[in-house]
Amino acid sequence: MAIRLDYVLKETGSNLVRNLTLTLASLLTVAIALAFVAVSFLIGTGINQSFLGLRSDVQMFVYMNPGATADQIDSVNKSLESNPQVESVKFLDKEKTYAEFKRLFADQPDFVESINPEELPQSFRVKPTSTDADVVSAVGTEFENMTGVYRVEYAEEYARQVQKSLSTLNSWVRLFGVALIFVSVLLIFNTIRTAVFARRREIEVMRLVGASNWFIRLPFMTEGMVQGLLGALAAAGLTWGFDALWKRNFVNQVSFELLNQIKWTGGDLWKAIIMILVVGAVTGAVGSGIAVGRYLRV
Amino acid sequence: MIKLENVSKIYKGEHMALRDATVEIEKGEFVFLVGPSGSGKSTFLRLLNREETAEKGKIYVAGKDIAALPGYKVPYLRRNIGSVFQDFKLLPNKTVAENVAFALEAIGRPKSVIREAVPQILELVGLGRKEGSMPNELSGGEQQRVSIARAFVNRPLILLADEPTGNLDPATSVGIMKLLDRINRTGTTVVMATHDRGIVDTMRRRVIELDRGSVVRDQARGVYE
Repeated sequence: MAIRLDYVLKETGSNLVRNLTLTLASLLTVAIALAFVAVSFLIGTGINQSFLGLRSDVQMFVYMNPGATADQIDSVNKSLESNPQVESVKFLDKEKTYAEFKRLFADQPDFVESINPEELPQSFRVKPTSTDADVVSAVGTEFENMTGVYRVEYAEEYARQVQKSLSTLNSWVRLFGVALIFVSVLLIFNTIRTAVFARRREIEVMRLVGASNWFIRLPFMTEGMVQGLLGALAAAGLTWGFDALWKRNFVNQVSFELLNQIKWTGGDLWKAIIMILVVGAVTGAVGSGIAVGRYLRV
Repeated sequence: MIKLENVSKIYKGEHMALRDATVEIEKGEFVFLVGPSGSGKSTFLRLLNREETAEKGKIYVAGKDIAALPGYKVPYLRRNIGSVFQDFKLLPNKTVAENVAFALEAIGRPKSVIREAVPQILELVGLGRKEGSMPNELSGGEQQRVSIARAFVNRPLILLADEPTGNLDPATSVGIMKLLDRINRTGTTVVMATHDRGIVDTMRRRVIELDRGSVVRDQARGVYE
């Protein structure tokens, strides 16, 4: 026996309209919950990316005295390269340092003008093998007392603090996201269960006249899927709005030291939206299938 | 058509709704199930379309051991069995014609068949002019006719009726019985559970009496007691 498509569509449509208030109420809750899921995914992604960016940034600067001799520079370079804790070394000579300096202070041409390139310290940029702040500072102190070294700087304290607070924030956001997915699933499931309960007489009659279980189940499943998808679409709109607001208010805004680090790409936004569409549709359909199942036991 | 062999049905491990029942019903028979409330009449009917399953014994419907049917085949068994109830079980938000059509839609019959069969069956049960009415606009007798139309529109081999006149006055009941009799004359086997002494004594058909789950009387052309 073939299940007629027009029958399934008619049933799905008329049930969504018949329970309009219930449908709307559940759509709204599902939309909000799924929007939170997407937003927490984006923030989590953003934190992870800034976290990773920070990690590869944990480096150390060994500044030479402006008057250091070529021999002194060469000797520091050799001991850096032979140090097992050092992954890579990059030397910035006077020219490169000046170029970098010009880049950093591009908005202050007067200041750049006033500096003589000869006065800028040459430096080594060192990437240690470990990102552990303790290891980094241990390597640093080794070079502090070498001849010709002006001083060693590292992002130690700042890096340590930011790392810690971001990873705490990230785990909270993740936990929140997981909890909200769970809530969304329960909400869809519950709405469909109410709809199934409202139509238990119809289901009873269908069983009596010999409708197959799939025939009874299918309109409920498409109904649940449509509800989940509609809720997810609304959630996608909310997420898109959040993305725009976040970009306008935080990203690249100097006044938000920590928040401006949290950013994500357009691809991440699409990933989040597709994720909630799939979660909405699948939980809607599967939830309805389960909800109607208890009325189908022979 | 229907055969029960030493069938027992036990609810919740203690209450014996049916006790070692052995009954055979031929094709085209009209059978009354009588007995006090709780004697097992409804259980008897519910076992036949596998709403319930028996703990002991074998039940054959149309030659098939229905306990052996896998779950997905149960709907096909039910397509051969129409059911009528005391409370009609009509869908209140559908018209008379839609209620009857629903039975055909639910088993995937094409629209062309439905368009033809529904007016035909409504004519047969005497509701040719009420097809657009809602169930709550009909009298009890008319509602029961709709439910019989729905049970019979697929021309099942067997019609099960659980106190179909239980909510109706005697005059209306007579009309319903005439309708069931007419359906029986088309060759459909009818099994009807009833408390209605007048009907049983008037129709003089086979009577099976149950008492506390046991078959205590099986009488051709019988009376209520």
